[in-house]
Amino acid sequence: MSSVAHRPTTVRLAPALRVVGLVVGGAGITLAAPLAYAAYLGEALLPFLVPLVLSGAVFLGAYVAGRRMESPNRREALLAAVLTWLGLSLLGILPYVLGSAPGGPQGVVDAFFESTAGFTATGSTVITDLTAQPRALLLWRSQTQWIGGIGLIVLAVIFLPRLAVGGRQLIETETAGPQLEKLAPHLRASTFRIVGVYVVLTILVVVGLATLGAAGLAPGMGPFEAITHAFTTVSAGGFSPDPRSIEPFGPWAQWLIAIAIVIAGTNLALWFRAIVLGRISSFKDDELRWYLGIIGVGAVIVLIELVASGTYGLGEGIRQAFFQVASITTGTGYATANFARWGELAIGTLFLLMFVGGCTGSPTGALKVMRVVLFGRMILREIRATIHPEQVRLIRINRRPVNPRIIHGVLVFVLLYVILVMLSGVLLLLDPNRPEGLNFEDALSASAASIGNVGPGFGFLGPMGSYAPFSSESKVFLALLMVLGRLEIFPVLVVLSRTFWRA
Amino acid sequence: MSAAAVAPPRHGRLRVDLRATLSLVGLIVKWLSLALLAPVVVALIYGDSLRPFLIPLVVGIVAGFAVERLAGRRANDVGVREAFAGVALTWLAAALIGAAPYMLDGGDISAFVDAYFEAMSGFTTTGASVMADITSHSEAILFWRSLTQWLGGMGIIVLAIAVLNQSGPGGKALLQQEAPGPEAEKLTPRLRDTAIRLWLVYVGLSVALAAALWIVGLMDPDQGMNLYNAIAHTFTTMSTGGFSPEPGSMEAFGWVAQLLVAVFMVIAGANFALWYRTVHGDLRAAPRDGEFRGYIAILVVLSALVGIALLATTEAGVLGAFGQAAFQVISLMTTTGFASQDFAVWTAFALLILFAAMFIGGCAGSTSGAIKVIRIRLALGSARRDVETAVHPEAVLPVRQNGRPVREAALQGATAFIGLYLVTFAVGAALILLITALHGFELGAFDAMVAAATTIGNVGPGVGEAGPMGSFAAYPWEAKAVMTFLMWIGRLELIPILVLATRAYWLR
Repeated sequence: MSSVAHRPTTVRLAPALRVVGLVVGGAGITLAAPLAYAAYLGEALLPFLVPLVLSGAVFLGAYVAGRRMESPNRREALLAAVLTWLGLSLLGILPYVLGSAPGGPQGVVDAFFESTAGFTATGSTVITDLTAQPRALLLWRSQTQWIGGIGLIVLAVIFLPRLAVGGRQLIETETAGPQLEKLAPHLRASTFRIVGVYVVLTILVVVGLATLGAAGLAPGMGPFEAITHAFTTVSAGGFSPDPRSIEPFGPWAQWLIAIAIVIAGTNLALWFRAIVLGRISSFKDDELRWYLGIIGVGAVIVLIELVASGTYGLGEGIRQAFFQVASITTGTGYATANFARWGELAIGTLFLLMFVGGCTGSPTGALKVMRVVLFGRMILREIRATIHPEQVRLIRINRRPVNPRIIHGVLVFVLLYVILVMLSGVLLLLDPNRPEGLNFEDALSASAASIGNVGPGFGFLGPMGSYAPFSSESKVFLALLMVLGRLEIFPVLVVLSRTFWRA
Repeated sequence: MSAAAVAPPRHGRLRVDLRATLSLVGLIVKWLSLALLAPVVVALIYGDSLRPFLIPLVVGIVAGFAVERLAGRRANDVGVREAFAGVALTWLAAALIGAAPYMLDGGDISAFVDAYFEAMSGFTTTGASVMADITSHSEAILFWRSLTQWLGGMGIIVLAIAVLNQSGPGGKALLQQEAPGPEAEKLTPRLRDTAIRLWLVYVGLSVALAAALWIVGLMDPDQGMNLYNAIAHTFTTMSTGGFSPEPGSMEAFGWVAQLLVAVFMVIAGANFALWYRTVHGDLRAAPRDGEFRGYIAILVVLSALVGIALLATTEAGVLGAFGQAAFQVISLMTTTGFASQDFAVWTAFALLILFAAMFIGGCAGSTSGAIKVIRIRLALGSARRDVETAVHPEAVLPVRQNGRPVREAALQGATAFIGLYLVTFAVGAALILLITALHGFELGAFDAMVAAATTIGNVGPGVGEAGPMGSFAAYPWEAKAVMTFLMWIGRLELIPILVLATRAYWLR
């Protein structure tokens, strides 16, 4: 009687690999877009055709081979999530290796770096000569970030809450919400809804940018620029086909993109509730308030530095400060000026903001505002609790008490994140083939920008610079950090733990 | 009876008994001033000036007496709330007494900011110095400097409880706020007995080390380890302080003295309750303790890493490389800060490991500073549990310590402390960087981070010109003030100070 039905659940590779094959193959099929564009421009077709055929085969193979397969269990799904990101990065290698011009990611390591920076929506680059690259390849480069954004939404809504680590359970209450706030009966449906908001926002940005370009308000903003920038704005990615990022397109386009960035960093589910379900009160959200507050305060501090140092006048200073703070906080990484040359106070502020990220339910990276807020409140409570240790004070978000276990999970996650950034920065410094003149600050900014999926760092890693000087080992390491950051660390730790593989 | 008779709710009523708090501070200042008799004796022997010690001795006793009297001699009324403010103020006042001799002596740290920095660095057992030239100071001054570390090591308040039997209802809280680590261990049910026993172990170990060092000095007179140096280094070893009257720190002495000091730094960085039990016949008390084992394991691993780095990058032999590495790792992780070599010039890898060691610290209930091994173990334990629950969501897994499950509140407290520590460190480093930038003082981000880490962790030496053979003398005074604050808040483990900044503490 005692040995009742405790079926050991082992991890089977086949169901996990099937999911990976379907997702990576599916993503590869979108290579049809740059292929068509290359055909239209008369550029080389092979760089897109070869991986397109390959991923078509993978997709079909996974589909056919897996028809009778059981759907993956909890652990297999987790393994699939981790492997999917690696698979996407590997898929992205081919177009770069086959198609990039000199000054681009021609080697396998460089291509892996660029591809990972794409799919994880990080936006750091090893390209030193953007203007020489084929246009279709630059379209694909921006497109990878947009696809990565969708991937993240799926990951964040379906996988991470199931894990119940790092306080990610919060997003579950956010999107599937109890009682009144119920967004949709099933997570699958709510995923579609968030992705819907994501797609609509993309279209709006394309139309807005193209209109500004056609009206002559944004110099150089043609349909190609409008589409590629929309892809990397909404996904908080930050790739730009222009070597000077958003600087050349003028104030109108910069304001439009800045606002779009801020929207992309909000919980997209709020927009669905507010606009489609007509509940404007959805915007009364604690996390949203903090998010806007952080951007506001950050922008003011940067503005003070910019004006006091005489870098800009007040008018232009406001735009520059707001744009850069929004871009870095959400982990987009666009630039309207080479902020790596700004003063200490501005750089220090931007460095701290790299850790913040956007709201839960957005395609942004880093810690997320919710975790930062809970971390701060938790620490304040710990200080207050010393007076009345017997009094249990609940921490509330949107007037609902948050489970103490979740808060502790958040705390552990934040510590893990910060320590990981420090250790990775140190490891970059220890690379015997590190770039000449890589100092402690630059190395820290590189690791923070990679784990937080921000993109550019400081020093020579600034927005107008590139990660090309790093050694191959460091580039692979940085690319793995991007994946680690995108998956929010814990899933990778879980997959690497012994418990995961034991029955 | 009528509605008018009901007293209106009293807003803004102070809930802290300031008179009791001040009585306690006055009482301790009064007795602590007597410690100045020790450097007076040294000054008599070496023929140094007595004035810098006699004036604060008299003023301290009179002022302490006056404050105690004016506040109504109510030190026995100190409750839990008063314990926080009492401990915070006592340490500020102690540093004032400590600073007076430096100011009156008129050496290169006679400015108030410098003298107060040096005194705070003493009582908090930090060991960071602003003395540009150690050799310019008299034996008596340097003796006083080492003595402040010894007094601060086991704790001024613990000493007061042991000697004066002054502990009202807040006695336990007092002990708790000052003792390093999450929970002060109860050796006996009576508070005063615990305090006495801790001090007896501390004194006993100190006597043993001083005698051993003196004998080493007698056998090899060339080393310069005379009785004076033996006592001064004992004071700063047992307290994990790290001040040395020698400009070259421990480099000045031979390997036997260095080995002795290294062993006693390890002892001082472990929980003194373990040594109490060991002395009472439980020889396996230390090896059985989870935290102690973790502490030794970290020391071994970090020493090995630094040793390999030294072997690869310097001319040193195997014994020399690992010996130097172990000494330096022990010195920085136990937050002592002695140097057996100028480690600031070591390779980046070794330097970064030493930097990391500054954050770890020794065990709870030791004289060391920084985060402490127990908290790191608890935080790692909960991270590991989170990974396990991700695989087995239904499992209930307690985090264990010495076989016993740890309360959730304690787990949360440990992780929150680490978070708070890192935030305070980051704010401190940012302030130091900004201040030095405003003064046009070219300090890199790394140097600023080391300066913050070394003061909040009560370690001592920095890098660059603030390295183990140098000092923080050239830093702008505002940066010194920030560092003084960090030493103070770090020694008292942040929360007792930060709570003073909340409304709830004063009013509710």
